[in-house]
Amino acid sequence: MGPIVADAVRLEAITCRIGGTTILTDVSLSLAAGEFVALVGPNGAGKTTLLRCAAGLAGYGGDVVIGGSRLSDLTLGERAKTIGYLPQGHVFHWPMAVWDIVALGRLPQARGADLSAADRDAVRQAMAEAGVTKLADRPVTTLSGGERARVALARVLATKAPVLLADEPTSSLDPRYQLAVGDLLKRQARAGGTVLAVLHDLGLAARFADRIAVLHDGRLTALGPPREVLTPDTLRSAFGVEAEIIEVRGVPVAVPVAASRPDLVESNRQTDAAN
Amino acid sequence: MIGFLASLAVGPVLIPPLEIVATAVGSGDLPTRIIVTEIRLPRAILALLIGGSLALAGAALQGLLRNPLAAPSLFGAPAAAAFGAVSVISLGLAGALSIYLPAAAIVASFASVALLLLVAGPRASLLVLILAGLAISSLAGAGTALALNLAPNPFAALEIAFWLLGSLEDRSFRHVVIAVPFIVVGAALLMWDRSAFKALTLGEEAAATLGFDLSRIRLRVVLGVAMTVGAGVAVAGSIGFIGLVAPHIVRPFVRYDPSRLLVPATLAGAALLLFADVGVRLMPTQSQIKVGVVTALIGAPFFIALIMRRRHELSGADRG
Repeated sequence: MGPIVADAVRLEAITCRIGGTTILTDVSLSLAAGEFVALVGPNGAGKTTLLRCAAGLAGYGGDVVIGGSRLSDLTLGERAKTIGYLPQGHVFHWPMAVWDIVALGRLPQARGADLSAADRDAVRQAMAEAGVTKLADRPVTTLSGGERARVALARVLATKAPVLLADEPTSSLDPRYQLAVGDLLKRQARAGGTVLAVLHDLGLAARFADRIAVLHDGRLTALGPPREVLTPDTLRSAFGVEAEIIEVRGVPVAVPVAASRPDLVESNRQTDAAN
Repeated sequence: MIGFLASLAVGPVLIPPLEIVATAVGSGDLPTRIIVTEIRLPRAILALLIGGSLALAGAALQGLLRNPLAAPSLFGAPAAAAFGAVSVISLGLAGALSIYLPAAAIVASFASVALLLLVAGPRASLLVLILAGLAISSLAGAGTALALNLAPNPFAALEIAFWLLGSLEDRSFRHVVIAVPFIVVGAALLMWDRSAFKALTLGEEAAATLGFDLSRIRLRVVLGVAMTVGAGVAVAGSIGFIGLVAPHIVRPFVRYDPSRLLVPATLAGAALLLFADVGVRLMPTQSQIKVGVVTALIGAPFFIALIMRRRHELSGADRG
């Protein structure tokens, strides 16, 4: 892990337009080293685009500052050593062995050359953390969706980059591995890393993330510790659902009970005002 | 090695291997020496070079596109090279064995790259590049048809048609000298990005975040393919399917790793074309069958089988 820097990742007034459509408007978000922030929001809110901007994959207005340097000042090689990016979908085009796939994570360090002993250790460790050690010799295309997701995660962990950007790392995982991956991301942060992960499961976000950032219509509408962010009001305005918040072992869990109706939202407000 | 010896030994005059060795060390009678060194040696060398470069171009393109069905003809360079060569014959500027012909082919091959980049733009996506390549291929094909159509006499038309079939017959060391520099530089360009091909198995975005500059890589591959394949077409005409088949044969032996595939695929392609070229000399036909016809006859059914095996995957999954 790199040196621990306050505000390891700073997104400053990020604006992003793709093909004439504004996807993100003025999004500012700072992550400290050692922090795990979950990015949540309805479909199409701009979560993936924000992650792509932070990884330098999409053009943006504003600034992305990583470890004190502007992203645009870093070379591709420096970016690759600093940022581990896990895209959505876990694509593998060739039936390569799992070990070889995870070893791709060492390419920023071992460009083209053979893996050093340290590289191999990093690969082994990443595979153990993601629980794919037993799959090492399997062609990756023969794996189940959940196994692929873990191999993709192991590949990112193998880079040992201090910043981890993960787009839906827990989708297609069963509950056991959702917990395992949530825990893994938290441990990455505790070891000094900075983790920004898109999560759809609010319970998982509340359980493991230090803070939750809510993105809605390309704007950051709420940011804070899970207990502060997961409120019926936030969920109504961001997701358009009526939800009840219950507590399970000290973790706030949002249970959506009905889709909000605009008139219902309106009448609630009136009732509130009357009270 | 065996193929190389066979390529020197087999032909209208069968020369025993011992005599080839004798020629190699400087003895042996004059006619034999001339047949071996002037006729068959350049032919064998060209077979190795062209077969190898076609396969390397195929393997690199398949790596770039993450698709085993990609062929070196994809970006239009071979079609453009063929057009360049054919127009020289058609204009009566040169015979099929003249030195101007490969020069024109290589120029046309480079022109196709320039046109490709002009049409697709400098930072084009892969899909735009492929479409632009397809358009350029069609344009070059139309040009070739026009050249054939306007051929000054039936002999020129026949010459063009035969040349297009692809052959290594009657090539000299001059042809080797023309092709070698382009093939060497092109091959170096294609080898340059071998670790990127490996990273691309994760898709373009993940590869980019591993530190690879994809637009530069695309440019290098397009140029490398134009140089290797263009030079091959320039001296031997269109020889198809080696670039598709050779990487496929060796892929399982390198555990499907697109970077480790390049060298074995090159060797396999060299051997394939060498054996195919010996094969056409052994066939008891009236006129010698062109080697391009043989590779297409073997390669096309292979291609069909490959599509049928991957049909499900190709139609179902989004491979973007």
